[in-house]
Amino acid sequence: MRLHQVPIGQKVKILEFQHRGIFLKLLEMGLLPDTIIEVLGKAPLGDPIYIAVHQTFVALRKSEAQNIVVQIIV
Amino acid sequence: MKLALIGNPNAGKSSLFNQLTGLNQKVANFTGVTVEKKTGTFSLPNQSKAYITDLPGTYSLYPKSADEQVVLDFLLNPQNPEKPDAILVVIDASNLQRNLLLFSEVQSLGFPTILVLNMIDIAQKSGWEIDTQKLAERLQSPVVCTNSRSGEGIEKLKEKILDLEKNQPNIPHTILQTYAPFENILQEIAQKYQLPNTYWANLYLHHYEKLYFLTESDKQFFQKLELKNNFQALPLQTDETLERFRKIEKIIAETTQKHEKAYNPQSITRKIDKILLHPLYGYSSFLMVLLLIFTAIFRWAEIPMEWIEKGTAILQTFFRENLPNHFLTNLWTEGILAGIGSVVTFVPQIALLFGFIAVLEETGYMTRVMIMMDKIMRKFGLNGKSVVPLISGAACAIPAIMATRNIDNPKERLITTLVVPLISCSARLPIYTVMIALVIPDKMLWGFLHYQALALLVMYLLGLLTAMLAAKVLSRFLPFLGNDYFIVEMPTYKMPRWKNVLITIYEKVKTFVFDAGKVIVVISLILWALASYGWGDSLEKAENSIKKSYPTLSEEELAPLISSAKLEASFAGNLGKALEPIIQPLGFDWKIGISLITSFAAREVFVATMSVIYGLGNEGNEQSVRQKMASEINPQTGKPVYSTAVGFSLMVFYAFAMQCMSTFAIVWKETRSWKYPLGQLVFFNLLAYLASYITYTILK
Repeated sequence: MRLHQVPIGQKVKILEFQHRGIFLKLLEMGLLPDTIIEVLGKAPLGDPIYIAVHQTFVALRKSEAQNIVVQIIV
Repeated sequence: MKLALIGNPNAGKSSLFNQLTGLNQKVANFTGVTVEKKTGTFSLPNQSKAYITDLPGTYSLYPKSADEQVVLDFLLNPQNPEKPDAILVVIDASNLQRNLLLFSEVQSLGFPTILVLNMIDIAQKSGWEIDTQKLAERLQSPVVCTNSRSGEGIEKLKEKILDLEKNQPNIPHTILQTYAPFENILQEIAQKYQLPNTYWANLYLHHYEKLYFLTESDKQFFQKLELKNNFQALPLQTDETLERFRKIEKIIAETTQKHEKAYNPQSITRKIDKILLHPLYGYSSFLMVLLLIFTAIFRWAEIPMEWIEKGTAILQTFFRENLPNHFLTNLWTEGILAGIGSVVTFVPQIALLFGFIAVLEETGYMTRVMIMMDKIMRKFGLNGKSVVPLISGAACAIPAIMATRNIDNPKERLITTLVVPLISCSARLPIYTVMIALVIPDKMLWGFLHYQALALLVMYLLGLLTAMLAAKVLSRFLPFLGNDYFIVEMPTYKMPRWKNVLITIYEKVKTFVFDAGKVIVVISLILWALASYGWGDSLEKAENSIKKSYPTLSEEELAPLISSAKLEASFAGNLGKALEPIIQPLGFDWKIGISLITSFAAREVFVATMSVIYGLGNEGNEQSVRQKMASEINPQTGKPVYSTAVGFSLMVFYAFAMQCMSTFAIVWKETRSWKYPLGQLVFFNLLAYLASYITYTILK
C-alpha cells in the first residue's frame, strides 16, 4: 500500500521508498524505514495530507506520498 | 568570540537568538543571495563580547533550498570573515532523534559545539527523561538545557560559551563507514585545500557545483575526481544519513527514557487542526483572519497615517514661515521633508502587517495557511504563503512585498514580489473613483446592480487576474529552480511570544525606513525639482503673464492660477507636453502627461496634480476636480475630453503601470538588484500602454 491511499486515522509502518530524489529529505524529516506513522488528515482540498511522525507533524503532497510504501498495522 | 546558531526549523532558534541579543541585532543579507542574515552581539559572564550569526533553519548539511545552501557556504568557506569559533546547535529536546542528525554533521566538520536542548520544559512534561551528563559524554560536547520562551538556561549557556573560549575543547573524530572506499581521495582534497578533516573534504566533493567560493578550475578538478572514482552523491548521502541515525539511535537509547505521561503536547494541536484544517471551518476562519489583516492595514492604519501627513504639513509650514525665502528652504520643506514624510507614512501599515504576520508565524498558523492554499497556489507557481502578500497588496504593495520574506522558496518568493504590484492597491482608489464617477452613469443595472460599483469591481478583478496570470508565465520562464516538492513540518500551536513580535515589527520598520527610505527620498527630490523648476526664467514669465491677464483678481484668487501656469512651464510640464504624441493613441493629453510624471511619487498624486493643472490649487477635492474635468471640451471635436474611452483607458493604465516610487524602492531592497524593479517598470508600463491602447481603441 502507498501512503496516499491510507485512510485518515490509520497507523502504518514505513517499508521503503520508491523515488530516490526525495528519499533523503524524508529521512531528514524523521521518516525512516520501520518508523510508525499515523495519517492525521487531509488539507481541505484533499491535498496535501498530514501525518504524525515521532513527536512531529509533517505535511506532504499526495504526489510525494505515493512514493512511500507502507504496511497497515493493527 | 564568534559564534553561529544553527538548528532545525521550529527548534526555537530565533527565540533563543532574541533571548541572547535582545535588540542588539542587525538584519542584512548573505552575500549574493536574498536570504535574511541576522547578526547580533551579547556579553559573556566575564564582560567580553560575543558576536553571533543566526543561520537559516536546516535539517542537514545537504541543502535542498537556497536558504539551506547559505548555511553550507557560511560554514565551509575558508575566507568567511565571520567563520565561527564555535557553533551552538539548537535542538528540540522532545525530538532528539531527528534533531541530532544536524548536530552530528556539524560536529564531523570539526567545529567546537554546544548542544542546546531547547524547549526542555515541554520534553519533560511529555515524559522524556534525558541524562544530560551522559549525553554530553557520549556526544563529547557540552550540553545545556534551555527554555527559550522563558529565558531559562540562557545564563548557563553563556557560561558554557565562556568555558569553550577559555579551554580549547577536544573535538571528536568521526569515522563514517559510508566513505571508507573514498578515504584516499578525501585525503587528497583535504591536503590540496588545507581542510581540517576528511568530512570537510567530503562536503566539498558533494557540493562543489554550488559552493560559490570555488573557482571554475576547482570545479573541474572535483568533476574529474567524481567521474574517475564513480562517486555517486545521492546514494552516498542517504547511506551516510542512515548510518548517522543508527549511531544516534544507540546514543538515545543509552541516555534517555520515555515515561508514559498523560500530557501530550500534540493532542491539543490535533484537536485544533481538526477545526482549522476543516474544509468549511478551515477556509472560513482563514477568510476571517485575512479580513482582519486587511481591515487593519486598510482602515486602522489610516488614522496614524493622517497624523503623519498632518504633522509633515505642520513642519513644512513652520519652516516655510520661519526660514528666509530661499532655494535651500524650498529644498528642505518641499523636497526633503515631503520625501521623509512619504517614507514615514508607510510605517503604520508595515508595523500592523508585520505584527499580524509575526503572530501567525509564532502561533504556527502560517504553516496551516501554506497547507490550505498549496493546491490552488501551486497551479500558478506560487506558494501557499503567497496569499498573505497578495491580499495585503490590495491595501498597499510596500508592506506586501516586504511580507514575501516569509516565503522560504526563493523562486516562489521572487514571483510573488514581482506580481504583487499588479494587485490594485488603495492608492489607485482615488483615480478609480474620480474616473468612474466621471464616465460611468450613476444608474442601476436590472434594478440592483450599480454600474459604478460594477466598474470598480472589474478594475480590481483585472488586477488580480493579471497578477495570477503573470505568476503563471513567470513560473514557466524564470530561469532558476525552486523545490518541486512540498514536505513541511507543522509546528504545534503555541501562544505568540510578544517580545518576538515586537522585535519583528521594530526590525521591519527600521530596515524599511533606512534602506528603501533613502531611495524614496532621492526619487521624491527629483520629482519635486521637475515640478518646481523650469528652463531659465520660464516660471517667472508664466507668473507675470497670469498677473497681467487678470489684473482685477486678488492675490488669493490668483494663487491657484499661478501654480497651474507654473506647473505647465516647469520641467514636468515640458516633459508632459513632450509625452503627448506618445500617449495620444491612449486618448491622453499633455495634462494627463504631467500627472503621469508627478504621480510616479504615488498614484494618488494624480488627483492633486490634476487639481493644480485645472487651477484649483493644491486643496482641490475629488468632487471639484471631477466637475472641472467633466466640463473640459476637446477643441477639435467639440466633445468632452473625458469620454468613457479615455476614462477606462486611464484606469487600465493605472491598474498595470508601475506608477509608484516606493514600490520601486522596496523591490530593489528585497531583491538586492536593480534588474527586477527596472524590469517591472519597463514591463508593467509597456503592458499598461498596450492595454490602454486596446481599451481606448475598442471603446472610442
